[in-house]
Amino acid sequence: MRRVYLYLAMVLSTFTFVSCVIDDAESRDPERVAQTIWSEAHADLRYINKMLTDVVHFDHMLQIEDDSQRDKYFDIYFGQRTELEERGNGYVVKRMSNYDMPIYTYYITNRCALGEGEWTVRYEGGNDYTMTLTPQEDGSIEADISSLYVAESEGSAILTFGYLLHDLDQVTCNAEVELCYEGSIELVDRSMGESKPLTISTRTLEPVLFSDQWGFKGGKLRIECRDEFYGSRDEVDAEFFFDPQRVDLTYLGVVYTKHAQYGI
Amino acid sequence: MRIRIFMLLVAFVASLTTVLAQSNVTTEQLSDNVSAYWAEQQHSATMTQVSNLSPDDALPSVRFANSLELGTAVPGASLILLMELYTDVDRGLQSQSRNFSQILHDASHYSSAERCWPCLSLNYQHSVKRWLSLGVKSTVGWKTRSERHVVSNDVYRRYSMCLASLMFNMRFSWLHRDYVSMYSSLGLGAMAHIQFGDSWLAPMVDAAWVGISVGKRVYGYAEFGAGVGGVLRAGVGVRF
Repeated sequence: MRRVYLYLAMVLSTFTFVSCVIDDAESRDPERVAQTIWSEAHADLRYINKMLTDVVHFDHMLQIEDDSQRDKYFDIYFGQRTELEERGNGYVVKRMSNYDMPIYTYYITNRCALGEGEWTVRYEGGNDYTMTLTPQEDGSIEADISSLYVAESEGSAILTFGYLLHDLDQVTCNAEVELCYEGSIELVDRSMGESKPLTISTRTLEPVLFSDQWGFKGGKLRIECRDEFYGSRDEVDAEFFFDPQRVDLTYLGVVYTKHAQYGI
Repeated sequence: MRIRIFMLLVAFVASLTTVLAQSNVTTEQLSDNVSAYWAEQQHSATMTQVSNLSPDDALPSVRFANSLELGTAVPGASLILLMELYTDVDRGLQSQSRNFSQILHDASHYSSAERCWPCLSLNYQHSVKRWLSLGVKSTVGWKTRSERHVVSNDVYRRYSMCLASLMFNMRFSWLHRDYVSMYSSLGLGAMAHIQFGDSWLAPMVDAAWVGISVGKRVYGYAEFGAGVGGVLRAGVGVRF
């Protein structure tokens, strides 16, 4: 009987040799997770940055007394196929899309400058949003974005921001808006099913400095991604630097640096 | 339909061979099954000496009519081809448009190495004549791959494919010595390809061109063959 066991042991040990790897394992690359989450959050942030800088440019345009200069500024920042119309307590910007569909942005300014009274901005062009801008006692402005749609996600954001506007060129009306903001953004993607949403929550750990000329110049964000479909939860910190311009992504304690060639 | 005809043919050949072999067994004397070595012993030794001879020493192949073998094999081209019919269904969908949830899931998981156990076999043979034994041979081969998390390495999903066959096996022994026997064999049967969402059945042939077994009650064997059983086979067996 002992011989049987010995023979069996020999045969069983040969199974290890007979088994073979016919396809190598893929590389384990946690950086891809950080990059994927960052690229999604970055797209959301870019959209929100544009919303805020548009408001600042719009306010600045309204301050220009010279009609021709104002029209020029409007054309530069809001496009050639755009019309401005004064209506009620504010303005309507009508822009024609590439498919000749009108896209409306309503600026309800209550006849006061940004930072001096409450503004409401409503965008109706597919990815609709409504943003209420309320001046704060410390001079900053609170942007409460109650209905926000970005690509396949919907959610809300509350951001408190201050801004600087640098006139770069009086002839061409080029200007740079520099924002400094903090707060949180929460966007829910339900494309995997109503009951299995994917939520991306972004909150500022250090106030974010953003320039519409240079992109992100400083600050730190924490991006949390919760996927109910796959039952996963990932957290990525993004810290911005300006010289040289880069973003450091921290995922599970490991830092991955992403240099920006043309701004972040 | 072709599989049914094939299976019927296999069953017919199996039953015919068994009946023929059984008729031989009932009509032949036991002494006809004694090996050449045993005949030599009979002639050279006295009746007293023969009675003192241990049956285990003298009659290695006659005493044990049944044998059970467990073996493994190096696969041949046909088996590799069958193994490669495995398709990773989920990964195949990657070319389609994927939403962010799926993209993130792909980024946070990787495919581990694809490991293959091409062929393990279990074979039962019943000796009906000195030169012929009939039996049933089953083989199984499988391969597996898992999807794991890039950081924790936890398994999220495992993909497996199995090739299993069951065959009627005829073995023709053409060399007999005390400890050594050489043979050839032919098996006919069916093979099942089992994979989630893609399983099928097909007729299958297996042949051992040359096989050698070494040992008596417990023995080792090696074969060179073709078919679902692999090209180079080896294993252990027990006679009873």
